[in-house]
This record gives sequence, structure tokens and C-alpha cells, in this order.
Amino acid sequence: MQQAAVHIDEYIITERLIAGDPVAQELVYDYYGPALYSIILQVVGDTATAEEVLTRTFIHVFKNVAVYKETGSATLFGWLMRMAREHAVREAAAVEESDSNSNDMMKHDSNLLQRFANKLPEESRTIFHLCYYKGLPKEAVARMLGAQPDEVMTKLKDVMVAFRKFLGE
Amino acid sequence: MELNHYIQSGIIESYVLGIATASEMEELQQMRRLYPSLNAEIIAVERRIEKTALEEAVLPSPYLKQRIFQHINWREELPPPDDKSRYTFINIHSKDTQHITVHKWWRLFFIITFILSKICLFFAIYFFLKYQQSREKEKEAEQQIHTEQITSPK
Repeated sequence: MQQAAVHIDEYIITERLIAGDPVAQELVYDYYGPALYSIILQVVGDTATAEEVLTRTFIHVFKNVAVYKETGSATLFGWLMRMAREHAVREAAAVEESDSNSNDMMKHDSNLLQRFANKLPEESRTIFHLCYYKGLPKEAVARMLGAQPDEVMTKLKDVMVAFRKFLGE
Repeated sequence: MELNHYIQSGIIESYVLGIATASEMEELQQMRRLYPSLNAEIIAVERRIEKTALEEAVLPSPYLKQRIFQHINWREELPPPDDKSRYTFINIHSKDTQHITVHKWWRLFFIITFILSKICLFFAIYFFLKYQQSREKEKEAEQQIHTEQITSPK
């Protein structure tokens, strides 16, 4: 993709975003928007909701960009990705509450995380699914699966070790 | 080595994906302070995911960008809450058709007009009386001449 060839100096771009520079905002949207949209789409499942979440994410990000510096996030994308997922999980939970027939399995398997999840044993996949896509705390996951929270913690740790290996492949 | 063991535990990945618990996050921040080299590990994981995410990007609707920036610009155009000089005050009156609102200069205008009208009225009456007086004198004089003409012998 041509986008990947464009270099963004994160320090300069962050300073410009904090100053509210519209050119920097557009640059960040053009560069990261589609990648974040893809991440959101994985969580919410449909394009209309994903676009709504992307809108909210960028409004939040541009308004709170100073927080990115304060929290000491390592890279701009890392922070953006977490913000996008957080908004998506919240929206997906709200949609699910109002629509009990929502389809949980509507996920694009072309995505990195979905490819990884598909490689996991069923139980680990469920735990990962509930933690990442549903944003549930480990205690809630344990209750849902009728297991102990420690057990879920250990399994999720194993999943993360496997993810580390998967990224290194 | 403790650091290596910590890195291999998958804590970084858990943090990067946003699924780490509050205590795990706190522990990670503490470890980052102790071992600044941990930052390089976090950056490496985030860059690896970023690279894949950029490759797997899905283009949203082209209208979305315009919608987002319209929304952002609209928010930015709003004045900050403490900037009273930029407030627009809207005078809302009840729908009263019996009264009108005018500028305060009209009050002075009305006072001047009232005083001028009184002066004019005074002069009008004054000159009217003067005129009447002179008319009476004239008539009197005419009458006198007339009587003189009749009574005088031819």
C-alpha cells in the first residue's frame, strides 16, 4: 500500500495536533483512518456503525491528543488503536443491548487478530474473543465460562505469549 | 534475566491490545521506569501491528472524512466557555404587539421636539394676538375716518 511508504514524524505531528493544526489532523486521518476503520470493523461488524465509531474516535483523539503525551504511550498508532478499540467495544455493547439478534461471528478473517484467533484452541479463542472484541473484564469472562478468574488469567497470558510468537513469525 | 522473562510473558502484547488489567498496567509503567529498554520492546510490538494494520486497511466511505472534519470544525468554531466577548446576546421579548422598543436617543429627540413645539405655540399665539390687536386698531381707525367723512359738512 502506498500509505505505508509515507513517513510521519510522530513528535512533530503530535505537537501540531496539540496545537489544533487542521493540516496535521487531515494527515493523521488520511494515514491512519483506514487502518483504524478496519480495526473497528472487526469489533462492531457493520460498516454504518464502524463509520460512526471512527467519527467518534477521531473527535475524541483530536480533542484529547495531549493525553497521549501524558500517558506516555510509546507510539501514536498504539494509542490510536487502543482508543479506536475502546470506542468500538463500547458501541458494540450498546448495539448488542438494543439488538439481541446481533451476529457475533461476523468477522473478517483477513485481519491479523482474526487470523491469530482462528489458530487458537476453542477455549482460548473464546476467552480472547470475550476479552478483546467484547471488552469484558477477566472476572466476567470467568463467570460466563464457569471458571475461576485465575484460570482465565493464566489462559489469557498463554494466549498473549502465543500472540507474541505469532507476531514474530 | 527478569526483564527478558517479563517481556516473554506477553504483558506487552496485552497492553498494546488494550486488554491488560489496571494492576498489570501499573506494573508495566513501573517496569518501564526501571528498565527504559522496555520502551523499545513496546515500540517494536506496536510498529509490527501498525505495519500489518496499514496493509490490511479498509477504506471507509469517502464522505466520512468530510463529515468528521465538518464536525470538528463546527466544534472548534464554538467560543471557549470563559470568552464572554464572543457571546451573542439574543434579546428575547414576549410577543407584545402593543409596545415598541426604540433607541434611547429618541427620548432626547422627543423632549427637544416638545420644547420647540411649545415655543412655536407661544409665538403663534403671541403673533395671533398681535395681529388681532393691529386689526382692531385698523378697524377703529377706518371707522373714525368714516364717521368724520359723514359728519363733516360738504
